[in-house]
Amino acid sequence: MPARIRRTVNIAGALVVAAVLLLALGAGYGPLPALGPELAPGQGVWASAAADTTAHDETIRVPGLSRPATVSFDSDGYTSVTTATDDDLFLAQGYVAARFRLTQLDLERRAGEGRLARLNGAAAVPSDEFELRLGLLRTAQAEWSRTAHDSPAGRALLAYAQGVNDWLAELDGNGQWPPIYGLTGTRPARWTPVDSLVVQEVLTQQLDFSTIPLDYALLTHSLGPRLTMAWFPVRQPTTMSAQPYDPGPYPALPPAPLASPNANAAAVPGLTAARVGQGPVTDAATSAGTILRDVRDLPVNQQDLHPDSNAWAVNGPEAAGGGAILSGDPHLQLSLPSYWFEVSLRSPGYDVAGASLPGLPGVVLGHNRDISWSITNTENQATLFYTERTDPAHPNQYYWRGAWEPERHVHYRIDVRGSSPVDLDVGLTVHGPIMTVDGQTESVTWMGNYPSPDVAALLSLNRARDFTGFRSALRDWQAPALNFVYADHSGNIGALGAGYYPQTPAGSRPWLPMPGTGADDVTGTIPFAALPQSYDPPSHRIVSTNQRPVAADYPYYIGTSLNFDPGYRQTVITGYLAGHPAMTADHSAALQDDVTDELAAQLVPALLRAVRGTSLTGPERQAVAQLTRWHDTMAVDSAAASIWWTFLTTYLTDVFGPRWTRVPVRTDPDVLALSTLPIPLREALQRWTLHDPDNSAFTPPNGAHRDAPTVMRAAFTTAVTELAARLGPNPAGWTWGRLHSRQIPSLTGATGLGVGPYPADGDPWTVDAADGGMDSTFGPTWRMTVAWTGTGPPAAWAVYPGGQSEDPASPWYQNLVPLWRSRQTLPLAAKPGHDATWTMRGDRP
Amino acid sequence: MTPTTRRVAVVLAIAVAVAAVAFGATLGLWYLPFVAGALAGATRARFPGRTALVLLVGPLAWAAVLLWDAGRGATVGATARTVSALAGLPPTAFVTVVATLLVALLQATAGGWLGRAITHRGRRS
Repeated sequence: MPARIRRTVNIAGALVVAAVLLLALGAGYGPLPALGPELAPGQGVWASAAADTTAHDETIRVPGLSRPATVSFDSDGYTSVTTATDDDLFLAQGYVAARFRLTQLDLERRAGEGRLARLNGAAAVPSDEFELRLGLLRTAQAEWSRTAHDSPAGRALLAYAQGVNDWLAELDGNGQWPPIYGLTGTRPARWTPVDSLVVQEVLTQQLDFSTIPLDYALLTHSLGPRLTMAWFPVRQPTTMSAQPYDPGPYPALPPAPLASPNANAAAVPGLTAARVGQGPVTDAATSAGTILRDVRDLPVNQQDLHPDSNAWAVNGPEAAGGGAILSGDPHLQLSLPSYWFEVSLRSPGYDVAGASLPGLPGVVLGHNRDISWSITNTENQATLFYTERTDPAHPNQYYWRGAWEPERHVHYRIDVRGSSPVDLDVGLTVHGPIMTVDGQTESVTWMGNYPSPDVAALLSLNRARDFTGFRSALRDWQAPALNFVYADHSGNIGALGAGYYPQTPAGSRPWLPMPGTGADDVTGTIPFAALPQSYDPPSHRIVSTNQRPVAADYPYYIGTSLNFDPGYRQTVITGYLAGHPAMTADHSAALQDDVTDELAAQLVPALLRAVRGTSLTGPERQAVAQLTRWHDTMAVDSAAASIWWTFLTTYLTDVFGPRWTRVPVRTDPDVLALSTLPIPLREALQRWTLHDPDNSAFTPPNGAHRDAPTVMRAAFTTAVTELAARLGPNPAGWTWGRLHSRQIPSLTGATGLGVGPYPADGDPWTVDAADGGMDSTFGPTWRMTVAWTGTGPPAAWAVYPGGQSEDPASPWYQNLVPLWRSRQTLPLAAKPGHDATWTMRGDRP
Repeated sequence: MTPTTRRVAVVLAIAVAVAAVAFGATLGLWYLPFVAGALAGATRARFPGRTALVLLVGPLAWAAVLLWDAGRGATVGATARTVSALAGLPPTAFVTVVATLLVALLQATAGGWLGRAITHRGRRS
């Protein structure tokens, strides 16, 4: 080849390679970000290395602030905000939240608004499609349009957004964006009040968007209606599940109308109340399966799973020295950063401390100078699924109340990082969004889709002075329905299950997908006066553990045995409180750490009776000895805990497994897999074992007759054999910690940014619950005790598994985890001697 | 130019190039390793290890900035670990640091090749 040609080829090759390389590095390619600017030292992902990882004394210009304000931090990151006006308070709160939790704020709103794929790429498209279909964004927009901008809630939301945006403007200047933005080449948009309301909606979805009717559809299809309702009844006939905090009597009032129209329903003018016949249900199992699979594909923190929250209050003679004591530990998925940001807020209108939710103004649970409150999920049925009657001759229409009605359609374009946008069409019926047309057209009426003035209610709650103010504040709380447990400075205690409890006409079956032709539509909600509630009960104790909060004669439908906790935690807590007639704050805090398994307390004696006198192997005899000495505590070093757990799983599978073969477990393993020990089956097994040992369920179809002791003996043998194979021949070494662990994953899902797994005690129904599998990721996200046993402000303590900062490089990223793991708490106030103070000034001279 | 003077000049030139690339990185001029590589490739100076130095000017400069930042208290290691984890790679600082230096190296290599290709006339046929 002539030299000139070689040289030309060489130059051309070098030019092409250089151009391609620079273009790829400068602009990115597909999902790959622009690595040139993002990896250049001092820029992109490296810029955040220079960011302040905690806080130090500084004066900050914060546009929008009307008067100087201070934010102080103690050495653990506890944050105290003090301002001269209420608006400034929420502006400063927004600024602080953004500085320490910007990624979390942005991820939460993106999740709710269906914009995760813009950040995370194609893998997030299913989540975006689901959320846009469900309509969190539409609801938040409707809520904001109903909010007067000069109302307390409107002003707080606007001020909060200003505070977040002040920090975004600073980041525009210094470039110290959290690393995720450098990696993805995106930047967060400015914050709006709608974003705050979307964050609230995401939490509502996590607590309230239950798919239980879809599970009932699958169970009915696979087990048959008789067995389904026998094993998963609306109410369990057990005394343990009947421990309401509101025992009645109950007023029988007609349903109250919902305060606002469904923001995700097609409006139909000129409604008539004509009752029409049931439409044909074509393929309930198929559509139910499709929706369930979509839900289970969502990130875990967008699913309604594993309710294990506790809250209790004692007063009068039950509290040492009189007064009242409140303890609360809401359980959710654990994550770093945590759901909560610990803060004190002081302004002319507020003096409140506790756990705030990044994205929302105010404190979600905590105390002010007069009252304190904690929350548990009511677990009532807030989702109603409707099978719409459709006909190919009437495209895009559904039959409702005797006429064909047009669907309303909303179109979205989902931007996807590194890929083409995805178009989405969402159909809306009068019931709500159409979640699938697979098999049949299925829409959902979800209480979270009704604009709910929760922020206004929360701010009123933050300012409440007594139980009247507390009730008044929660009158407007709609979704998610929550049990607010209360204690105050006068020594009063109370509870209120505030929120929407949808009601349908008598004769409807809301636990299943219902015909959408009109006869089963929501007629209203339980009126406020008839909500579950209690105030200064004679027992001087109120306990809320996601159990059914009302007794059997409550005149309203609120859910089935699949909704509510079976009462194991309730029993342990009630027993502990009864055993400590003069509770101290230390007693109360210690109860939060209890890992007693009440089901074991009930069934292990029956197991020991069943194996007594039978021929046992050596390991079996040692296992029996372990169980005999055991006190039902799921301690990390307990071998008996492993034996019990393995036995129980085997026992339940042996009983129900032969009839479970047709159940589509893989469609919703979190609810349907026998290995998760579904709540109603546990309750049934307990009841039969103790009171009906010859129940026909113990005998497999076409099998030889068996009774409870027979199955227990077989399950025990299997459990011991399995443990020996897995953990070795010596039962003393089968400690629970070898089977069971906890972890606190990163909110981003990134491996290596979480804590654990580490051997851990507890199980899904201990007070200190460890739920979500043998490597548990659900647990107490906040432990708080407030003691109103002296004069003046309460003494309060709290801890959560995380830290104030979301930055893994920060000393405040997980500094509270060791305390949480070792069951210590910190005062819910700044420790003396603040480490750092921000002096904040507005843009006015 | 004596060999000693020549060596000093080369060392100075490399130092200036490293300093310029490093300073440029902090200003957002991420493509300077390419420019430096191209200039180095285009130079007619010949000395032992020339190719290696052409290639390393970018990574050396960027590494210097990272070290400088770390020395000033920036959380370089922890940030690198975070970035690795977020990218779905093994959560160690090493991965991100290597990726960073690799970006500089690739640029310098491409620049060096281009510079040499343009100025090198080869053997006459």
